Amino acid sequence: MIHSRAFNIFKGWLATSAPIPGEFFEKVSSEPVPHHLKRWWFCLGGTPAYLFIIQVVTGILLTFYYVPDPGHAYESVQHITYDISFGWVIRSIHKWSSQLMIIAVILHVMRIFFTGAYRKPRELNWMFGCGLLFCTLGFGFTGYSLIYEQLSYWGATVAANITQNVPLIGEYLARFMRGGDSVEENTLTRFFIFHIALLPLTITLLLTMHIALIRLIGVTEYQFEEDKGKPKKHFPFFPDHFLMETIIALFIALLLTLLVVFFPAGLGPPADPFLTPQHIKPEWYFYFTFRWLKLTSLQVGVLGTGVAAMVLLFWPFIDRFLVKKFPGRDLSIFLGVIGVITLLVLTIWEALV
Amino acid sequence: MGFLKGIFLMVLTLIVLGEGSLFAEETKTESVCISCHQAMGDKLAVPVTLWEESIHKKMGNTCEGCHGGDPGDEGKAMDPASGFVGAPKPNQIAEFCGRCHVGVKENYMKSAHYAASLHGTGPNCVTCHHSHDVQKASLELIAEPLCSQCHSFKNAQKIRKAFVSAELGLQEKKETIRYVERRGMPVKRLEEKLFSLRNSLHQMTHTLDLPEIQVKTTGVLKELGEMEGEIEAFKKKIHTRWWVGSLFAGFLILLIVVLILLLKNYEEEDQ
Repeated sequence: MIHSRAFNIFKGWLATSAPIPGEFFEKVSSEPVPHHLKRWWFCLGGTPAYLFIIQVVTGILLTFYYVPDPGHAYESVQHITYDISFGWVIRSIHKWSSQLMIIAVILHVMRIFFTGAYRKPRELNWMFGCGLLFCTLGFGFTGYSLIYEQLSYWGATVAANITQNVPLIGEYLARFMRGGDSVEENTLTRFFIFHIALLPLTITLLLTMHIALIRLIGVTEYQFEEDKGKPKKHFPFFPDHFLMETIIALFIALLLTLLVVFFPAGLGPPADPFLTPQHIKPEWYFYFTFRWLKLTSLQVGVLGTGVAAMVLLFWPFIDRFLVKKFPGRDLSIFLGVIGVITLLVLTIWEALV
Repeated sequence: MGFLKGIFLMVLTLIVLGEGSLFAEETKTESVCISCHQAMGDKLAVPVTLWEESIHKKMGNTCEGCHGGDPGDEGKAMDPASGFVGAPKPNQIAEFCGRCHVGVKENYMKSAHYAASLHGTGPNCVTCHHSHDVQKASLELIAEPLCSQCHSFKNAQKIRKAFVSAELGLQEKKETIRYVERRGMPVKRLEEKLFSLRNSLHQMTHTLDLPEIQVKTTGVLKELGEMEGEIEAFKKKIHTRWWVGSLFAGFLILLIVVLILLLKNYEEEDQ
């Protein structure tokens, strides 16, 4: 009796303090969702968002103990991994979640590309999506460098050398990135700021714009061969789509659990600026660009990578040009397949040597 | 298709024109010792080629580590004022290598090898280990082809036998430590202990004193046994993590199955 009265008082207070009408929740939860979203690979868009939330939470917990100073960074990561209660779990989740986030973003971009969901009026949203992809890769790179182990230190050194070769602004860009003429004390502080402030802020803004545009324009209603000619089908957001997304989130949690428990994050030897390792390798998601840079001269390599990134960013407009120039031929699929095969070949090639 | 052909040809040209200079910044600071000796070729380039394959190279020990001099300045590279000492004479080799390998030098100086070397007939460090292609010390070094160049292999074989069990124990422990390390255990202390055990054992080789070596190998095996307790505790911890993780994964699988059934139920209701 007392409980229900207290609850009613609280409900009344909430209704006056936050007067959101019940219809709003009803409207949101019963919103019709296009039927093609019944297929899981069309739900890949939400996956990076869940993983990003995991990254934010675990990242904040890691920041409690991480020391962004060359003299203490490695020891602090060691302390997190081996001394702090459940530190190994938090660090391993952060590590594996970042890997999965990169995979999820790449798969999502590929799905959008091959289903033509970037076409008018969604060009701007495709560009925001590309921005999210670049930010995710930036997260991976800066985060890996924060460990301050031998490979991550030299990875940062090589990346700074590569940046230096960007035409016109290379020198400034490298100095901005390193905070000086070489990888030194300021570099770690810069990377830390990029990783915990600049990139999260950018990715949050881009994600907000990305989701806002999806809400404003709506998703592409994709029709499969067997559905053609039939009336468009929809299903309710709640409980159907909500359950689907929950299942995907739980599947990610399952995958993360197995990876964390059976392959916990390790630690290589600490950074030694006076000893160049025999084999410098970036993380797997940069293998393709690393192999490409080895194949060409540094300037050509950097230009090529930049051009590829620009092509990806402005693809909706390039695609429109191609459609006009070669009517009746779907060149985007053909070029997309060539692009994916090239990426895979370069990645596998680098992994094998 | 001319448009695509053009792009393809352009990419191909860029690749062909490439010089693979990704590490240009690193090679800029390459030691002048290496560049100069390589440029001179023949006999003078041999040390560089041999060093490339050595344990010294792997451990980051470059030319100036042994020979002194300034590797960053052509003029000072071989200047005694920069600490350049060049190649040692045979009777200076033990002192030369002993600047870093202190324990080894001390034990070698107790041995019959050293006593013979004072008369100009005994082996020094490079006789067994070579000068530039120095490899990681192993039991393979105590081998008939090498020892029988000066004397019978009989005594050396006894020494080798005394080492086998301890050497195998060290190897096995190293693999076990790798195993627990890959599964997230802090092995730094164990690695340091193993390193020190291995070093003290290998230093002992140079005394050639069989009874002392047997005492040492017994001691090493005892200490390896003591390390086992800590490794077992790590393994137990790993298995606990696996069990807890598997149980949680099982719970998640169950939850996923329940939600899939629930979803199917809703879909059937919709139809």
